Amino acid sequence: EHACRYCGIHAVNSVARCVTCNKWFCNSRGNTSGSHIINHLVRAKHREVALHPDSPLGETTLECYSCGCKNVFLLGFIPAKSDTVVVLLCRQPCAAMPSSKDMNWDTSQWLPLIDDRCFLPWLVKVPSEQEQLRARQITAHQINKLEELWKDNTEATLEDLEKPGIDDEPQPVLLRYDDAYQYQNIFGPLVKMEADYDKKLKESQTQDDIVVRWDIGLNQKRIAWFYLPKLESGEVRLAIGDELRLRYRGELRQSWEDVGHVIKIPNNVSDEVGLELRRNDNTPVDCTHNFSVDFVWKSTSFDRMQAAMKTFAVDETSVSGFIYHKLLGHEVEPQVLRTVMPKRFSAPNLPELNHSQVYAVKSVLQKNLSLIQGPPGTGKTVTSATIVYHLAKINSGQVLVCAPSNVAVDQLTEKIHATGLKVVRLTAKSREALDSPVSFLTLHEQVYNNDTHVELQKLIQLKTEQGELSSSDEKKYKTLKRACEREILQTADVILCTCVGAGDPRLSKFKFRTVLIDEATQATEPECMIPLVLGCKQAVLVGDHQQLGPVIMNKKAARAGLCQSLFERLVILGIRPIRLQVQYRMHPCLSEFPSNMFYEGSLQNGVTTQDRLKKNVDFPWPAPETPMFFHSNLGQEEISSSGTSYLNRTEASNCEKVVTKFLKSGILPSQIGIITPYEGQRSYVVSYMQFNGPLKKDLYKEIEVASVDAFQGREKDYIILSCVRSNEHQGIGFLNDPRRLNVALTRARYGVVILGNPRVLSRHPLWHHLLVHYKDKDCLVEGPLNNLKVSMIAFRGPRRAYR
Amino acid sequence: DDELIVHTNRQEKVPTEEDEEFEREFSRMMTESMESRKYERKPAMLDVAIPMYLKGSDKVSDFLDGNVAFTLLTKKGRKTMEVPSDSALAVNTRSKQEAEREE
Ligand SMILES: [Zn+2]
Ligand SMILES: [Zn+2]
Ligand SMILES: [Zn+2]
Repeated sequence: EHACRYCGIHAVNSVARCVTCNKWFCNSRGNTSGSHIINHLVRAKHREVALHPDSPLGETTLECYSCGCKNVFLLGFIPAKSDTVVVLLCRQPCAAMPSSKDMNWDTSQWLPLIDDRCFLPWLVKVPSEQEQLRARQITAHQINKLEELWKDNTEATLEDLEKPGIDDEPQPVLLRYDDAYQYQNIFGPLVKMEADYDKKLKESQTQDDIVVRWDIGLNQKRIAWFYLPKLESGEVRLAIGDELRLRYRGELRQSWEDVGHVIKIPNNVSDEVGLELRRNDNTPVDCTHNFSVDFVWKSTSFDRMQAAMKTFAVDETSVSGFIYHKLLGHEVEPQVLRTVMPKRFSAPNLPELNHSQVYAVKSVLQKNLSLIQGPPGTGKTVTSATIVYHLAKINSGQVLVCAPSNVAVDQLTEKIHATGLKVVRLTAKSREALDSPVSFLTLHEQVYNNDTHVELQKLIQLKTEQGELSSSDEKKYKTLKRACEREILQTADVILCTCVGAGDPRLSKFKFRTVLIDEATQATEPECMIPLVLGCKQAVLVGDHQQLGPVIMNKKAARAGLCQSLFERLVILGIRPIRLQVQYRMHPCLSEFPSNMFYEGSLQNGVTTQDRLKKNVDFPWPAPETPMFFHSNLGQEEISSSGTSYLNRTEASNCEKVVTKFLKSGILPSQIGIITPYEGQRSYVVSYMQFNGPLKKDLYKEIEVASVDAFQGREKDYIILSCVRSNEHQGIGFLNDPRRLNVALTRARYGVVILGNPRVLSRHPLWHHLLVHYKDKDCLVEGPLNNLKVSMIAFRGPRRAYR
Repeated sequence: DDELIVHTNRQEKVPTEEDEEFEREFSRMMTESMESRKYERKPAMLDVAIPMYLKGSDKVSDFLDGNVAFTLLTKKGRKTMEVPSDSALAVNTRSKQEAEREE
């Protein structure tokens, strides 16, 4: 049967077959924004299509006439120059050939098969309105569900959606829990869902046809360099330390595979991935082609979350009674600790604290559980480090300091080390080879550099020289190393690691009654539990629930509340966070909007206009005292011709012009950051600047272009925000999240340039506010950079209430 | 056939969360497809000849119900494809042919 699996339409000229799964779909949109066949291809990640044997063109598999590529997302028609003859060619590389005079074909006329998320109507007919009305009405939501079902049972039908069990949403998180068992019963399944999803995603991401460049690292290990196109889609994230499996299946030698860990990910310098291999023998360094890469999924972090929740439930000593009840949301009499307050609140070698920071330190020292909210630029890390300093001095026992990200942990390590405390930074084994400013504080380096264990030192030296040890020596080495590690950890004042790192077996025998978690609003609850269940009596959570929260890949788990941080839940439960109120990052004009919008106007400026005005920078700010503007880019988006709605060429070109102007006025590339929410735009901007910018390529190369998420926790002197979305009918996607907007707007110290379409953006309440703000300041402009004019554009105002 | 008029209460469509997500996925599919070909070697030449018997056939006026018949070359032979005469493809080809004849 060739009826559309979604809506049942079965006219032979209106349907096409998915070659991958052999299902038929029609070319009508029904109630969705793409046609059914396109919906299916996108949802199922299928790419090949054939027409019906009885259709006008007969049984035809759509493919490139020149290279045979069958990916319909790449195919388009090319007409002959003078005849009514066409061929199908792939956009890359076949149709990318310049059209030469003596060629019969006009490659400049390449016409994509898919236009506006629908096949060209004269290739696959769009069913008439009447046919569509007679057909089964299916919603985008049902389509999603059905595609989801097909992953387990390819023959499932729409009727199966009605069956019980299918639509079961997991039990959502609660505000209060009866006990730790209930807590575990709710979070356990969510963590498992996320783990399963992550596993499925990673394992389905095998990439073939990898071309490898071989290299040897300073540590004599083999390094494979290659491009991983899968990353560009943003579907999988790759982080330093992740494991990948590299396989060779070519004919030049017998098959080979090895696992390695990632030492470099794509950045503004190059898109190459660096993989340090585990083994050094038998590596096919003479081969370059026919490699495949698999993502190796590791359950470690999820296992540790589950283990922490179990400990929380079964082990009464895992946390103090007070913390136990507080975490579960029970009413508990507040406890005031009779702490002897330090005379000086600022810590040695750290900046003097301001009043709100001192207040934060003071109240933290007197409480068993505190939340500190650190809006952008308010000195969160210094405050945290100072708190840790005092906690270590006041309390007996060691302080455990964690954060979800390695970057944050490293920053804290540096600051806390500066106070003179004895710190140890515990890293995952896979990250030991990575260099960082705090390498010398890591546990493995401290073991390596210790001079008290003579025998261990000998073995380490032997191991370095020979590469390996005899099995008896290896055994001895391991025992000695473990003892040395324990000794170093035991004598430390502060131990630092990621939240997941707190589940490291090397810490399993330790008890930490004092725990500080930085960036706590970016960790999931179960993640936060890992450091807490090691005996916590006094907990400090530092974060900002007005900035981005934890990233959850599985939508069901996210919807059920896994994306809510513990910090956030505690705030909802009525624990008032202590807010740091003086920001030292932004020019006062840049902090005004975020302060009013996200912090009830409470942000004070610790820097003055004068501090944040760069003299001698020749840049056409429309209001010289107000180094910001919103540049109106109305240009119609070219979605239909290229099918690539995710990039905005006008904005990319304007972005390059702004950057060039900055550079020409003496601003360094490292001072500039470009934020764009779409991966497509990121890579487009990077290459556009390099190929079209009038200045030296290298200058543009050094400029960081990244997503909002990648900029969280960091700052630049100048920020350019390219909004990309300029589509009248679609939403603005990623930008529709106040916390993401907050982060984007608060990265710059000296100036902000926003490139976007005010007409489209103003329909969203939050952006409407922002646009009005820019307009009021005469900072909503249009026209070329050397002749900016205040824009007179009228906004249409928000379309619907903000969700 | 009498024209059938169906009253529906389809309203102006407000994009749903699903639409936005679909659109994002669609964009990803596009990027990923393009990216997967980034390192594909370019053929030296576009080596597709137009069969002689199709050449210069002066059949501009191949109109069938407002359609222009194009010949689609496929690996399994050539096929006739009707393209609306107001489509960019048809319009461009026609104007080029006319220009050529004037030369
Ligand atoms: Zn399929
Ligand atoms: Zn259909
Ligand atoms: Zn091709």
